[in-house]
Amino acid sequence: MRYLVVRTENLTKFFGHCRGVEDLTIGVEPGQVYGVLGPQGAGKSTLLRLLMDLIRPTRGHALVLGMDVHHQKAAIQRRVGYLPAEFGFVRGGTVGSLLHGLAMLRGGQTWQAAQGLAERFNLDLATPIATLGALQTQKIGLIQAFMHHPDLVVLDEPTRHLDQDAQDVFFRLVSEVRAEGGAVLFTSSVLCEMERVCDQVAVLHHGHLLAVERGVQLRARALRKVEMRFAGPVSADVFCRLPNLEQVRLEDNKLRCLLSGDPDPLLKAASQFRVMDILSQQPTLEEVYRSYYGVGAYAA
Amino acid sequence: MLLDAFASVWMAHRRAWLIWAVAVTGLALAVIAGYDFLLRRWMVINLADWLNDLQGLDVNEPLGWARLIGFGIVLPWAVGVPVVYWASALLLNGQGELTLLLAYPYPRWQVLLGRWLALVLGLMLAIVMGSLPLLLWVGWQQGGWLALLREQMLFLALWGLSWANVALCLGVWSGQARLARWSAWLGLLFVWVGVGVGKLFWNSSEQLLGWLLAGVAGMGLVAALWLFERRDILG
Repeated sequence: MRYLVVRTENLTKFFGHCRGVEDLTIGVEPGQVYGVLGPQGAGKSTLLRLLMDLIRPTRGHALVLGMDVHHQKAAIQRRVGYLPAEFGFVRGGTVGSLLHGLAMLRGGQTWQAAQGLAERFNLDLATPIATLGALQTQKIGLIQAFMHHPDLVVLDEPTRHLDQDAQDVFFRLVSEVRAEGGAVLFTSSVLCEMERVCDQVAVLHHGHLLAVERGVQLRARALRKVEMRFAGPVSADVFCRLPNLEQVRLEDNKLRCLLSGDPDPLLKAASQFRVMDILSQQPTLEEVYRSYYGVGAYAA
Repeated sequence: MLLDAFASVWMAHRRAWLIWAVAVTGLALAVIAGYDFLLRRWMVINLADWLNDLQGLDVNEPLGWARLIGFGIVLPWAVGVPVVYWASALLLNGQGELTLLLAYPYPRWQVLLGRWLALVLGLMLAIVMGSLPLLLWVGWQQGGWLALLREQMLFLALWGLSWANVALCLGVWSGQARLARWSAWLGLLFVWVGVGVGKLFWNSSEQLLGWLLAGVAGMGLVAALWLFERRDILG
């Protein structure tokens, strides 16, 4: 059997009658950045908790680094960094004392690495824990996940609460882990994050695996909501003929459409008219799900 | 990990537990102060007859008074109610930190035991601070404080531990602190009234009850460890 960093087979978790995930079969290869995309309630966090043995599956099984997640938990946890979606610290003290305590739990040269990461994230180690905001708390969570140079980093909504600078540091860290041969598995409900770094993306919908997309495919068909305002009336036919436009609507000299992939044909078609304004936006997850998979992200 | 779990719970609760210990001390002092004011009131004597055979002790003497009112009525409640409150939520509050710590390569029992030890330290602090004024007072007034120390304080410690572990176990099992708390409080009321204060004294003829409490405390902790090992941690 081919070695996979993460392998799940028919992994299922029910909380009473409520489905967490059902029959989930995925595989993460070494050196791969693997994304799990889905709206809230899709089962992303459940999948990660199952992999970290925080919850036990109803049926199916999971291997992490070739080991059973339940029976070889300690051996796995030594080589995995984990960032939970919800976490906190009840103790007092400073950021430095907290990270030092967590580094001691990991052992080795972890404390030096944690200090280096804190510097990269621009996190002041003297800050009292009691005064931490969501941004700094998330930075601590990321530092403790990366500080021991794990073979696999499992991150639940890692970019939540992060500002642009911290996001850039995070994505650089992900690239470094990949360059060193490690794997990263992370969840998000933001498609552009997946497009940016992922080699493969599992799309979840109500606990089911809807699709597994390759990163290059996602980047090639990057979906954008485009709105153009023209000086005068324009012909709808010009735009409807374009192959990578969907949901084309023309009202009051205003064109609204969903553009996937290369914007060049649209811009060339629009250049026949006098363009007054252009607005390009990320589509919502609901629009992505409807456009790609034909289901509403939140629909049952 | 054990120390880390201990430290985090102790740091989070230390103020509340110190206030608890001071409050228990205050109640013990109130018991001492009540000796002169309430001693011959019929209500107290009737209460003594109803709840307690006193096993040959005279409620008119400080030793009997300390056993009945102090160790029989006030301290079991002053210790039992708060310890149930904290124990029921010991593994439910602060789940965010639990989720983080349980991703480290250490067994779950270390996390539970570390947290439990912090609670036990708080409990012992309250028991020692609450018992000390009564022991000193009885020793100064009458003597016989050693018997109080040996029998009553030990009993109180077992009483507190057993209710703490029952509440902890109920909390882990149900996943709901409020349900665990109220169940344990009802149990506490039932046992306290049902058994009667007199029966709660741990002397040579009532050692069985002491062993029973020790058994409940031990089994409660083992059951909590067993349940926690199998419990889903949802964060």
